[in-house]
Amino acid sequence: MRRTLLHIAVASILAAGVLPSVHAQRAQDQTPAKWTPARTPDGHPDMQGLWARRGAALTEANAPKTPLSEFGATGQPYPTVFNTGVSTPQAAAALANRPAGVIEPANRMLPWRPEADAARREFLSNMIPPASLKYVEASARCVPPGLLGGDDRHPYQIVQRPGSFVLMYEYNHVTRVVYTDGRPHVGPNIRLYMGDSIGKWEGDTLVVDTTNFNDKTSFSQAIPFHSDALHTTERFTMVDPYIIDYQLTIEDPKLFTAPIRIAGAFAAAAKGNEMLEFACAEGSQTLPNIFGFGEFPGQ
Amino acid sequence: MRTKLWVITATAVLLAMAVPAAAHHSFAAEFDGDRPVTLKGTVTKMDWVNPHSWIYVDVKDQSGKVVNWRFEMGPVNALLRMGWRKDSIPAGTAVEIQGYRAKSGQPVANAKQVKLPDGRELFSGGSAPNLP
Amino acid sequence: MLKFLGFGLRTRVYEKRAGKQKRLYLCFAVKLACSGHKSYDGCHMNKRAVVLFAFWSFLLALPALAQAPARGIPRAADGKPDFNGLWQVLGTAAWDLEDHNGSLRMPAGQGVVEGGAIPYQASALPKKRENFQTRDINDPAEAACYMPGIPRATYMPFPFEIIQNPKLITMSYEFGHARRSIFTDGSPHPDGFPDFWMGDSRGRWEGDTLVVDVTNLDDRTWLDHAGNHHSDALHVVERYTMTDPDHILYEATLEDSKVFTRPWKISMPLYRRMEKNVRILEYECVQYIQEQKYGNAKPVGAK
Repeated sequence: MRRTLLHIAVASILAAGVLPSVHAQRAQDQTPAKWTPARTPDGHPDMQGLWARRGAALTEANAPKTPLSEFGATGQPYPTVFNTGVSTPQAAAALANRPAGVIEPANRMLPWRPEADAARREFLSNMIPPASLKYVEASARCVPPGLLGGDDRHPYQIVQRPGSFVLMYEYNHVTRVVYTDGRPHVGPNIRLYMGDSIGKWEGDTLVVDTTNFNDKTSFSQAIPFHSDALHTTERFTMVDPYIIDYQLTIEDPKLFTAPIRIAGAFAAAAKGNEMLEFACAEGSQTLPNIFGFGEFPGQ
Repeated sequence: MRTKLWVITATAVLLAMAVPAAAHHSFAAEFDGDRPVTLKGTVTKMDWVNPHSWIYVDVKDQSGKVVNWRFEMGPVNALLRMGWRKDSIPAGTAVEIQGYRAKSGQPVANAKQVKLPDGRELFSGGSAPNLP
Repeated sequence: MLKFLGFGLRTRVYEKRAGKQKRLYLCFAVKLACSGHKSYDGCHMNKRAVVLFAFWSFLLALPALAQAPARGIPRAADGKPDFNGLWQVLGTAAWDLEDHNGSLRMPAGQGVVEGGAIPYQASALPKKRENFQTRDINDPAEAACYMPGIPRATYMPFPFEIIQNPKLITMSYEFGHARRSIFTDGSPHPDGFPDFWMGDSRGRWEGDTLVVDVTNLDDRTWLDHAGNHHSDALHVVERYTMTDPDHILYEATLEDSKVFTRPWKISMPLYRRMEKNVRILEYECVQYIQEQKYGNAKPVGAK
């Protein structure tokens, strides 16, 4: 009798451990066929790999015309040559038909504070020719790109570990480690080009909160700076094996009177592609060309 | 390479069209869009670097004097992904380059188009060379 | 043993759980507990007490036993040593790989080169001397803020983060946000690629040691601030071995047929950065130096 009771007890304990996952599997089988991603060992959607980003830009209606934008396309254009993950015409169309750029406000007239809009127009007027170092376009000075200043013709690599989600930009080799281990933001006096990012999963969406930006990065050719009050929220949701939906909300109360929402996507790079090194300052002759001096040894 | 890296599909082209105009470029600060130039010469060397590759070309001017020009192109990563390799354009290759002169007046220009003897163009998505 | 202890079901239960050694101790304990009695059979209460005590102690101790492999290293899901985290060296290799005395703004240090001296070819020594004499303006890392290359990036006096998944190990260095990818997917070095400042790295595991083969290293990097140098023929093989959860033994063998007479080796410990919530911050050397160089300058042709 005692032996029997013991056996029942042990069996119950084991079953209690197994049952919940069996139950979940059955529940999943019953819902209508919807693609769900593979998961990392800690249970989150596996978004790891090499990706091309599109759409993540502060597209502005009636942006002021500047010599920067006038000749922007005159230099060597080059395509984004590494995406073939989306392999069917339907999937390609699905990617092409996704919203991209500013979606709120819908008319893309950004909610400028008048004094901030005036300041950026004044700034733009000093950029060609550049009145001094700070008026040289940020990307030409190899400034770390912040969230929006990156060159999306170069890929991104995602690596996930328990406790963090890592987004690496090939462009200017910057790395964003988004901590998902519950830690707080760093203290307010630490200011970073790439900000300080903490994230949490809401179901299968990673929500990333970034603060502690400095005021030294550029949003776009028409918006060459922002303030250190910048606060961003990003949402990463994998919608099919080749596409991560990307939503970005920008709040900069010193520039804009309301948040701005941007829609974009990451599209899977073809197999066989790798992150390459993109050294910037080491190979750049821009500043010596502009200022007429100062080439470093080896240039 | 173990696989062809430069396979371009309709999707890649779509992506290219969707990407806003050149993000990394101080073209207007360094080069003069009102001073186009077309030059022919022979390659002396190439710097396969980011953010811009450079091609150095000996160009004979009207008096017969040879001047070494350097031309700024896109980043080496794009060239590599299109299939170009370090030995693709050896010294002595004849090239024809269209571009825009540097504001400094030096023999420096930004290359809009670099054409090789067999008609192939660097950086043009549709002209990647065949790899073995 | 069964007969000696004389218990029924309880004996079977704790027998299954306790190992043979536990049983021996139990017998001993029971013997002790019953040493005051005239016979073992009469010693029921004491025997029962000892066995129950041992049984519950063992059960309650199981979770703790499972969690604490004595000095075992952390392992990733694929069983490989898990190098994820922030690491930093404590020595002075960044200033000089060889033995050196202190001087203003440079600490003294014992060299990390096996055998003492770097085995230069005679023809390569003048460049080393010239580099040393002009290091404050010519050191590509310290003077120009260029990426330090391999192995120098490892021992710069800044932390770096190892970001590891089964196919890719990335090292993200705080100095100038330098970074390199170590592909552990079995792929070879690509053919016909140019040189990179941080080289091209392909990794594989030899047991618990990560072995990284680095080629395509740009010849403009120096190996330290003392001007030790190399050519474009440099080939580095690194070995990372976790000696305990908070230390990695870092070894690197360098060979360069144009500069050195033979391969030579350096080694040093990497120390885990233990602070709570530690993270890589930014040392944007390029921006600082641009400000210094061009901050007060006027562009050519400016009014």
